Amino acid sequence: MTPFLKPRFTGGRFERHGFPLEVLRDFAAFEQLLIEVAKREYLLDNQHRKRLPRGFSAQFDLQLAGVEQGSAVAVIALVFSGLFEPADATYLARARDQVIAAIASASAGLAQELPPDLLRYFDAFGRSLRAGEQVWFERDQLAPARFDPEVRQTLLRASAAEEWSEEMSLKGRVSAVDAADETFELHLNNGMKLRAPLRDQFRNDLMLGLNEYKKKRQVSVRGVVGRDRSGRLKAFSEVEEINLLDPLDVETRLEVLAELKDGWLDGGGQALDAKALRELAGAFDGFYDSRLALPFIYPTAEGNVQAEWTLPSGWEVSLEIELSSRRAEFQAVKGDQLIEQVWQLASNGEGWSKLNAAMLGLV
Amino acid sequence: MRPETLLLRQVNPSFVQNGRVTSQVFRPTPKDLEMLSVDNGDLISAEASFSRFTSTLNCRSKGVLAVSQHECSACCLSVIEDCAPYPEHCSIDFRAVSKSQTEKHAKFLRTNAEQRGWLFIDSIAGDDL
Repeated sequence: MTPFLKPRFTGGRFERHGFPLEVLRDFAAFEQLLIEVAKREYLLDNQHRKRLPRGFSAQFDLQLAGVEQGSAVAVIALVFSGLFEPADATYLARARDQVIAAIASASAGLAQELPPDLLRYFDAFGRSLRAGEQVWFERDQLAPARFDPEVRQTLLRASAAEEWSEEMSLKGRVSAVDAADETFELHLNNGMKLRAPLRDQFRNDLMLGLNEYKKKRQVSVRGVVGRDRSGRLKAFSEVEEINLLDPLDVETRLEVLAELKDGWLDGGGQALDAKALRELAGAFDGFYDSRLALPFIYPTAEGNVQAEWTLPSGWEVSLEIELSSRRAEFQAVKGDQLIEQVWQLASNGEGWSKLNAAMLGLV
Repeated sequence: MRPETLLLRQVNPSFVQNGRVTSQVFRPTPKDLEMLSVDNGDLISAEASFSRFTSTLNCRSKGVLAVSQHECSACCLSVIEDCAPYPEHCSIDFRAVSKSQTEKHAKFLRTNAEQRGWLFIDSIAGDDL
């Protein structure tokens, strides 16, 4: 079977040489886009016709035939409902080339040849791509066309759409649940409130979050969010996952600390490096022993962080982490007892295992 | 100053998470030159201390905690009634203390202040989360 298309996915999740299942939904949207462009091509070639032949789109089917290595290469095959390739298949090939040309133009900042109403189909294609992830489409005699969240945004801005959607995960508090409308409201940490559909399987978590609104209980909501042309978030149109977060959720706390500006401490106090905080959050998630209590985390005047634990065993523990070097000073105090260590919280987990062992010894 | 005199300390909102304060509240930051600023609780109320502090440009406070002069003495930290830049001002002197001991004393002082509870808390200023 000759591949019809072999898009190569790079960056982020694709570096693990697999395909996140949610990306497969994008292929269905891509097929729809190709069929719509193919229809237009057919009518341009057959201007005497007022409508498409019956069953035009039913003749073709795009299938994921396999995944090749080399980041992740999706092999997409064109299969037909009959025994022989229909003459109309040529329109699908032309559509493919035009869509890839549209992507290349958007990537290069050039004007679009696809009409705005067809560009709207990019609302569903590429929605699951995250920052840092790209899709590359091969072209004859030309450099591959790059498609990423920014290129998708460019294509949607060139479309007639007033609003489009993105898959994202947002954190905030549940500020309202409307049983009559079957919606809930997420109060984001930046003050904005977003409506979202209420699904039965999330009802218990949402009610718990609502009851703890004043205690600032955080939830993370993953789903599809509308965004208008000015970039403003509008509302969730779909909700796929809701997680009630631990009150001491490390990632959420570090996101808050990343917002601090120079001068946060009475005019002194350095801002904290946001990238280093994201990496630290990932390391905590990956290496910190899940049997241990989560720490309270505070900024330091020098632009670093200090984690602290007050353990039921009576130990007061601090871990001052220098963000640039990941050097960590551990101190545990209980009455006259004092334990001090210095570790490197390396990306291979070595220092983390020492932290875990030390903490387990104090519990 | 009496052993039971309370030494009032302002708490930056970023030094509070879910109601718990960091031990850093009770150790000097680099700009403090190893002298921790406090107000003499025999001479000024916690609320008045808070008002004066937060009326100063760039100074934010979640509220007021306190340690006693006796608790400082237990850590061999002297309290200097320097009365500057205003009459009620005092400094807890960390100059003769190592970094390790500073952090250890800060933990002890934090625990005592936490057990004593907030002497004044701003109902408007939230902590960061």
